[in-house]
Amino acid sequence: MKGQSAALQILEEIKMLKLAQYLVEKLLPEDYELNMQRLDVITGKIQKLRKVYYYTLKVGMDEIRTDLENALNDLKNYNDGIDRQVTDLAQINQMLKLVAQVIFVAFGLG
Amino acid sequence: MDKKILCIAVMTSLLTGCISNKVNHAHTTAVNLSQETDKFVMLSNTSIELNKALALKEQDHQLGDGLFPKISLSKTDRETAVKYNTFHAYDLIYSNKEVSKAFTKQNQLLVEYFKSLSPILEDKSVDVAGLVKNIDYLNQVIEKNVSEDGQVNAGLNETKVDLITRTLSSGFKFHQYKVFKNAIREQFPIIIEALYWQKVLFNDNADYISGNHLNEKFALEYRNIEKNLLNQFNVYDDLRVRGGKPVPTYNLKEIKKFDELTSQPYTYFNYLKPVDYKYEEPSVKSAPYIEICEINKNKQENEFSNFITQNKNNLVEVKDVSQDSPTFQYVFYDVERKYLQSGDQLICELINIVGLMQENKFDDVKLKGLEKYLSNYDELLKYFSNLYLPKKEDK
Repeated sequence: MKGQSAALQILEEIKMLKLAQYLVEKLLPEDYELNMQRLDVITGKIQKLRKVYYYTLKVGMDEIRTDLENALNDLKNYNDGIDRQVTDLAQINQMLKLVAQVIFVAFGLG
Repeated sequence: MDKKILCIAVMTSLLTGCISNKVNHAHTTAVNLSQETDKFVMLSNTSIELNKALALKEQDHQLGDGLFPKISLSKTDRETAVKYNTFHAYDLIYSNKEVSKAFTKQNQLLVEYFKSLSPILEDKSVDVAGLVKNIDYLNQVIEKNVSEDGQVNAGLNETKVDLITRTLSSGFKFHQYKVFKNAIREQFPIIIEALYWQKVLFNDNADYISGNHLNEKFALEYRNIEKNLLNQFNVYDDLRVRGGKPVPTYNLKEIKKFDELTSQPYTYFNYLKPVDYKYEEPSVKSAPYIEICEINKNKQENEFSNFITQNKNNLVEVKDVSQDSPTFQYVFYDVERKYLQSGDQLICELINIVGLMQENKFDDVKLKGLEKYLSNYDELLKYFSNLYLPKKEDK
């Protein structure tokens, strides 16, 4: 499973637990002790899932940052490559002109 | 011979026109996409700030819950539990900051990436005509094709020079296009992965928002206005029953409250006959879109039905007594799901566009939808930022 879909699933579970937490909080006046125990369990689970969520994100984001940096470098290399080819063509152009002129003079064609 | 040249010229024109069109279209798409990505990243950066603020709010809530005394535990255990919760809250707030930094960095890289993409296809003003003329010049020198006054005669006439120049220029453009496609093929899977992480961020924010029960708050505010008006009516009614003549006042402050409520980006739902505001699916779907964003129809219907049930407590009841057979109407107003959908719609559109480009379907890339979804999300983000982000003077 990809890190992103794992993270989305964790979020889904946290969302459900938070809804349960909200409903239990409303029930506190009815049976304080029992509902406090429930709240304890729910809050603990939310915090643990959050921890896993952040861990998943940290690992995934670290990996993608390296990949993105490499992609950006590669892209810059592609750009530089084309610019170099343009410069090379300009130099070849100059070279052709020069060689032609040298031959022209050397063979006394003028 | 002339016929041959003419044929070649026509073919070259067609070929160069075709390549030129392809390159220009791809270049325009890349430039426009870069501009839209800038806007997207601005929204994403605000989302990161909002995420930080909402994460703090959640930790405040979790810590607050942990402070309620539990009679069943000893005092020492209760204190230990508070210390344990304190550590967890610290740890999670720290983690949130780390992740926020990672998202900010990712955004920076995305902007830089898209800015660097279009220059590959830019017109590099290569002096191809000069090159052709110089090759011709060299050839004529070698062939000793010199006129009596010592000048080198041109071997190629203007038509031929133009033909060769256009062919070579197109060749270079085609080379640029190939490099561009190569870059996209290699790197867009990484961009899609990054955008998928953005989907996680947007979902996290939507979940935080739904944890703030704004739909319920809206219903409460509406009911309060209703209650105030009812109280006012009862005062007049009592007065009238006691023989007085109530004179209504027309500076109802409730109208101002209604004005505030209607300015908020809520969407109306009829509880009994709900109509789903479904995702607008792209007409052409890329493989990454199908993999990441496409939702099974049954799942979508289930989610919608759960959403309606969850809003059962947020209903506003209305009964029109002026009708012969009065019926109740139940309505509620939603911003929580709208935010989640709006974020998903935006990210998925972007994923689809990037996916289509990766599949070389430039003609199917339409940025109009993306512009619309950016603007929709921006409106919601402004609303939530106003609610949860510290005002500038508070900072």
